[in-house]
Parts: sequence; structure tokens; C-alpha cells
Amino acid sequence: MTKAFFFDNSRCTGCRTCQLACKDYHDLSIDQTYRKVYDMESGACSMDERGVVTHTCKLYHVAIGCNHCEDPACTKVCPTGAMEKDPETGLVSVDGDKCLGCGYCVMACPYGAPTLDKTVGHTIKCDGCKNRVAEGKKPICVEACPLRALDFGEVEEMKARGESHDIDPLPSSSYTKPSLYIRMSPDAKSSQAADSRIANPLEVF
Amino acid sequence: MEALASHLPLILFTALCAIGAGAFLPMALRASVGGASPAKPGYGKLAWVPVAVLAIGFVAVFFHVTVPLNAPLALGGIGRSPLSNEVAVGGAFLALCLLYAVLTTAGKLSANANKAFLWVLAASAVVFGLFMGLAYNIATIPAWSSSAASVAMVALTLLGGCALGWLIVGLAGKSETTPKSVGYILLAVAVVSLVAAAIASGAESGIVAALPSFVHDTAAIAAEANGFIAGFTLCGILGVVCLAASIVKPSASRIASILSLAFVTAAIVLARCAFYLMEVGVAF
Repeated sequence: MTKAFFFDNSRCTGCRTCQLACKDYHDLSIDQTYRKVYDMESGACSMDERGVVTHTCKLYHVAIGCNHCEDPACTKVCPTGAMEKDPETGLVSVDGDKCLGCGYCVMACPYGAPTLDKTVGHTIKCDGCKNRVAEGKKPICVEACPLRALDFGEVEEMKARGESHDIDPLPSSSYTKPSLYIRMSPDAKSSQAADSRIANPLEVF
Repeated sequence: MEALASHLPLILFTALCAIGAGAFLPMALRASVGGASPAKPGYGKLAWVPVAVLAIGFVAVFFHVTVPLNAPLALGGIGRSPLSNEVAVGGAFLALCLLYAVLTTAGKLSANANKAFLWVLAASAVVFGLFMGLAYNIATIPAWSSSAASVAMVALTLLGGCALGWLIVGLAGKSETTPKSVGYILLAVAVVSLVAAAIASGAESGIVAALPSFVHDTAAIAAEANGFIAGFTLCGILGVVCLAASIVKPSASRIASILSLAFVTAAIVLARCAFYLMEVGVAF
């Protein structure tokens, strides 16, 4: 039975514990990360002639790693088959021994999941902690989240908890059908809203 | 500019392979028409010129990958990965070109066999150009996945090929005896290719400019790409003018065709720079 992630946007405080747990568990270097947290802002403040301040400000956080998509762009373009989707769990991982290092997966992924690590000579990415999943455990990011904003399990269970795949700044789910179900906070908007902006671009890009 | 630097091997690969592959069209055209010909059919050692250009292009692409030794594994994705398809078609085309060069250098080809082989190579060159364009058919990068990318790549193959092939025809001592009609056909192909490539590239930058993005200033990226497209168009016009001069004025033919190749090469490199600048995905 294939797996999916659930992200409760209404609980996420952007603490980055998921990101740190992942880096620690996978022994990633300082400039590597499999999971990113996007801080989304929108709106503005205004003051009327009486000095009364009103605002339309909104803030929320989106924590994502690889979304292990149903129709992954990375596996489609990979020439050597190094990028593969497990037929049982649905987790997408890279076989470093087969990887050519052409970077097509990096170009193709709409979520920025794969990165080309020249020190190891191949692409690296979140593999959904497939070894932990094989032991019946959940990915380390899910276990680490102090707000219980993340969950991982059978697709149907996660689908029942989440209401949407789409949340700014993520692109439309129609491209790759991410295995990600989201409960949106009131401040979250649907994809590509005009006044949303990423507040931490230097961190995530 | 940083993006262009990282894509330099791919810029060289696509530019040089387009020019080398397309050269077989003028060579085939000249081999097919009447007029006095040297005793030996074929281009002999000159057939190694487009092969060398292609080979340099293929060598350049190895500087793009981090594990070149895994290159044979790239054939495992044929039918699934557009990159694997390009590798397969390109490899087969290079092998055909090598075979032709070996046979014609050894004088093993009859006039009819030489003509047929050259037309197979000319047609295969167009197919290779098409697959070089299709290699970038990545659905999450809208400018690259449009049909304009393939149109542009085929057009660049024909444009570059006209310039290099006409020079080879001249070096083979065949241009003085070549009917002007052949030259005019090549000129027409070059003009149409230049226009098609410019329009296709402009269409791609239009796609980029219209893309919403949280991170990229897509209008600025499109404007920068348009600068390269303008440079491509200018160099392309100069290349075509020199090609025309080499056709209508046999006395200036050699110098004019060398200049044509130089301008067309610069044009194609600029067009490829514009293409790689437009790597703007649907992400963010």
C-alpha cells in the first residue's frame, strides 16, 4: 500500500525541528538539507486619520521535503533509471551507483527536492527514510515534529486527514500529483495568489 | 550569467552538434546535382570535418555530467527519458557519420552510394536536431516543453549546417562547378531557418515572461533572453549575408564562407545561451 505525507499547516510554527532532525539523522553537511521550511507572508498594515491601525497581514509556514509524487517528474527524465519509485511504498529515491550526475532531475522537480552533490558525485534527496519505513517506523521528520504537524502513512489515511495538495508557494499539484495532503490554516491561500511572498528566500534557495 | 556558466558544456554540445550534423545537407545537395565533378565521388578526408565538429560537441557534454563512466547506463531510459532518446539517436548518428567518413576517405563509395549515404545523413541530421530539442521536453519547465524548443533546434541545425556544409563543398573544389541554384537553395534554407529559430526563441521568451513566480523576476529573465535572441538574429543575418556573397561572387567564395561560418557559429551559441537562460520551472 503506497504511502503519503500529511502536513497540518494550521499547527506548523516554522520551528525547523523537522529540518534539523533530518539533517542530524542523515548526517548532512551544513549546506545540505532534504527538508525546507517556507515562511509565507501576505498583506499589509494601514493607519486611518484617527490613528487606528488595521491590517490584512497573514503568516504561515510550509514544511516540505520530497513529495514522492504519484507521477514524478524526476523518474520520467532520469536517463539511467537511478531515480526510482518503490512500487510498494511509493517512495522515490536515488541509486547513487547508477546516477550520471546530469542534473535533469534537479531541473525537472517542481519542489526542488533533488540536489546535485558534487562531493559524492551524484544527486541526493529525501528518500522518505525508507529504511525506517521498512522497519515499520515513520520518517524522522514526522517523529521529531513537536507540534505533530507532520504525519506519514497509508495514502487513504492521509487523504482523509488533509483537504488539499495545493498551498502557496507550491506549484499546482496537477503537474506531478504529490503524495502530500494538507490541512490549511486560515491564513494559507491557494496556489499563486498575487500578494503572497516568500519571506526567507535566502534560506530556501 | 551563473546559470549560463554551469550550462556551458551543454551550450557547446548543442551548438557544435547542430552545426556538424546539418553540414551533410549541403554536401548531399551538391552530390546530387549535375555539373563537372572531380573524378572521385565523395568528400574524402573533408568528410572528417563535420565528424570532428560533432565529436568535439560530444566531448563537451561529458564535462556536464559528474560520473561520465555511467554514460552507457543512459541507454537504459530509451522510450522513457527524453535524454536517453537523444543519447541513442546522437550515438547512432555519430556512428553513421564515422562510417561515411571511413568509406569515403578510402574511396570505397560509388557515386550513387555516396549520394544515397549523404541523403541518409542529411535526413538523420534533421532527426538528431529534433531529438536534441525533444531532450528538453520537461513538462515542469514550460518554455522548454513547448514545441518551439524543437522547432528552434531543427532550425539551428539547418542554419549551422548550411554555413559549414557550404564551406566544405568549397574546400572540396566543388563550389566553382556547383550550379548557382544549389547555392540559392541553401541560402533559402538558411534564411527560413534563421527566421524560424528567431520566432521560436521569441515564443519561448514570451512563455517565460508570462510565468508567475514567487522567486524569479520572469519579465527580467525574458528580457535578458531577448537580448541574446537579438544578438543571435544580428549574427545570423551577417552570416546569411556572407553566405549569399560566397554564392554570388565565386572569387570571394572562400573568405565569405569562412566569415559566414564564424557569424553563424556565434549566432547559434547566442541562441543556445538564450535557451538555457529560460530554464524557469513551474516551481515557486
